[in-house]
Amino acid sequence: MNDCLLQRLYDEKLIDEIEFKKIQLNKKEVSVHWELRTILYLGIVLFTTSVGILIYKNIDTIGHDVLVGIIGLLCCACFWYCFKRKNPYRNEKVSSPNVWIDYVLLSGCILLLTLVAYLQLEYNVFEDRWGMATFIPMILLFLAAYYFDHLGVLSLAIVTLGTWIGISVTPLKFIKENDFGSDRLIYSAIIFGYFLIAVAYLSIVRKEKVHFSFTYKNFGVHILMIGLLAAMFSYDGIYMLWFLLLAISCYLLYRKALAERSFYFLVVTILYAYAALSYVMIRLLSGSYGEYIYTLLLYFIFSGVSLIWIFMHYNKKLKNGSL
Amino acid sequence: MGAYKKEDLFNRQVQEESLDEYRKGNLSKESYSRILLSYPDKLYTPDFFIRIALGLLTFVALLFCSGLFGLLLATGGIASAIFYCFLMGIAFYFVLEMFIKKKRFFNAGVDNVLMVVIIGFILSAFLINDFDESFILLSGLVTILACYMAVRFADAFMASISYLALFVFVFLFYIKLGSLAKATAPFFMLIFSAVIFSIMKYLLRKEKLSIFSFCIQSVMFLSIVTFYLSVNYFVVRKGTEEMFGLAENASVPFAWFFWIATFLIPVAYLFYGIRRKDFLFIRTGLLLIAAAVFTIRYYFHLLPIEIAMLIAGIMLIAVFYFLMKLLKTPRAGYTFEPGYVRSKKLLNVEALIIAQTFGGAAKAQDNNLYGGGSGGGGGASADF
Repeated sequence: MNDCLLQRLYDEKLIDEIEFKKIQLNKKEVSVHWELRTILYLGIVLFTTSVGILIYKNIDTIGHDVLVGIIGLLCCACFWYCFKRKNPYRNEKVSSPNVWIDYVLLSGCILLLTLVAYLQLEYNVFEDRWGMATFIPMILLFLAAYYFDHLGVLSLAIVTLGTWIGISVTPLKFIKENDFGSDRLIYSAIIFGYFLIAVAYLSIVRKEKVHFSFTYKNFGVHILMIGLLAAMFSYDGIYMLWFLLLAISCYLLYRKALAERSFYFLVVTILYAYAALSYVMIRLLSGSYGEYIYTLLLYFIFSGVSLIWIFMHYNKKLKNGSL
Repeated sequence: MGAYKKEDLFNRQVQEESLDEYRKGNLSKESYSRILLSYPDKLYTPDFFIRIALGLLTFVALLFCSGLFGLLLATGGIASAIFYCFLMGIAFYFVLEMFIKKKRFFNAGVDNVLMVVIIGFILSAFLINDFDESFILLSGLVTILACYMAVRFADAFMASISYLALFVFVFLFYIKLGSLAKATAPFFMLIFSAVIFSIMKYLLRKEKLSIFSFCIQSVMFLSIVTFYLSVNYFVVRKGTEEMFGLAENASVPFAWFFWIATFLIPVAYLFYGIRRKDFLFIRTGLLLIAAAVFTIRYYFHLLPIEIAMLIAGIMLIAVFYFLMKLLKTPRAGYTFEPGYVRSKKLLNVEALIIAQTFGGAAKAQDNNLYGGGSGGGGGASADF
């Protein structure tokens, strides 16, 4: 706040003398918290990347056994540090005791993934059971995410879970022949999406790490919607059925977004629904001679304008809190 | 001159700055809502995500609108295409003015996209005829159009575009003046950036122009970046090679000067910023130090990349550790404590105050969000 404005507000008696002094004093002391955090982040990224490159380039002289040993030791050291320093587990959000611990835990988890991948690729520990190679780190990551209360690790865990499902539903024969059956992937994406959304609600209902529910729901909504859109595009004959399923899901999510007053989910659901609706319109109106081109153009103009109007309407509703 | 009432823009600014102080914990809830009531914000800026959605949808609607008119008006031939582009640009400009007059859109996504699309159409009208040799015309035109938009709609993005276009325009114009001009172009652009910076700094102090402060600050940021880039060795060298056909192994005149400037300017920014507590210079300085390091590495392969990265990473972590320890207790006006209270609870309270002040009665279920119940739900509005 600049001095003129501050003086003006004070003269108009909108702020009292204590606040006036406080703002003046506070201007003398500035926080460089986020600047320093950025420096730390950059430093860690540079450090870890360069170590990765160094190892990759010198793999012949170091040798795989030594490397696996080093990664394993580092990983253990990271987790050991986290166990020693962490705040005790609670079902609510637990704040981290210092700036380092979040980074250390994240490094530990990434090292864990590297270690498992290394063991599988170089030593073939899990043989052909690739599912196991993702299942074990997935479980460990979920445990770590809940135990240390870390949203980044939770995201890693969800991605690993997705990988595990993707691998499990695809028969080994197809992987070896490099032919990923897209049907199975689409179905599992849809089910996985619903599952994540269900977990998001469960964590609210059971009051276990309520702040995790956004991450679950965010992944869930995007995976579900992309899965449903993909299903619409690839099953030509019955795309209307998929559209119906998408419309119902969007409607439920939209009701929930209104109830939770979440601008983000409101925007995301309506835009996905709009994309699907537009696809249906294009399918219906693309005659062989382009005779419906004007109708299609008008559809996009009117739908765009009306959606703008709808968004403005809901913005007002959600802000004023009069639902 | 402006499309908005001055009072509206001023009130918006008062509200934003008080929100800032409120988040830092310098304003009490009562004072904050008193300010909100005394300086009502009548401009329309929706929630961040809604803005993105509005921008996207505006783009879709404009795209198909142009397509429709394109189909209707297409008769073939250049003249009709030029006419079409002008027509669309002017039509959309009237739409923009109407939205702002009727709905008071301000950074609502719709107006931002409209501004860009209008400039796009008018530029294409000029570009249809001659594609080459038109960079001077192009940059001059963008400067004027964007400057007009920035002044009329108090838009910082347009102000930035306008400055960048002006920079290009001045450069292209200057190097047309002859070989002496070509040799001194970096120095000229250096002086140009400095002049613009001083003008902006002067304007920023004017109380009357306080509603443009964000526009002015954006141009200030860009001007100190261009001040550096005009004499950065990499930029000068590549520029000379590309534009004036310098041989690969020939040396640039005044190379020593550019090397010193490449290294010194970012450091000077950083120290100046730290002394004056000017975050514009601190952050830009940090950014440009990275640029300086990249420049040096590009021409001198002192170390293999991974070793350089390793050293830089360790140094940054060490710098962080040292400064964090140093600033644990505030020193020389700097502190490591986060200035903002970013807790979600406080933000919820904010939303509630805004809802209470403008949206009438708060609902009973909201009361428990205040937590602790020190003031009670209706505390703020009860005074009025």
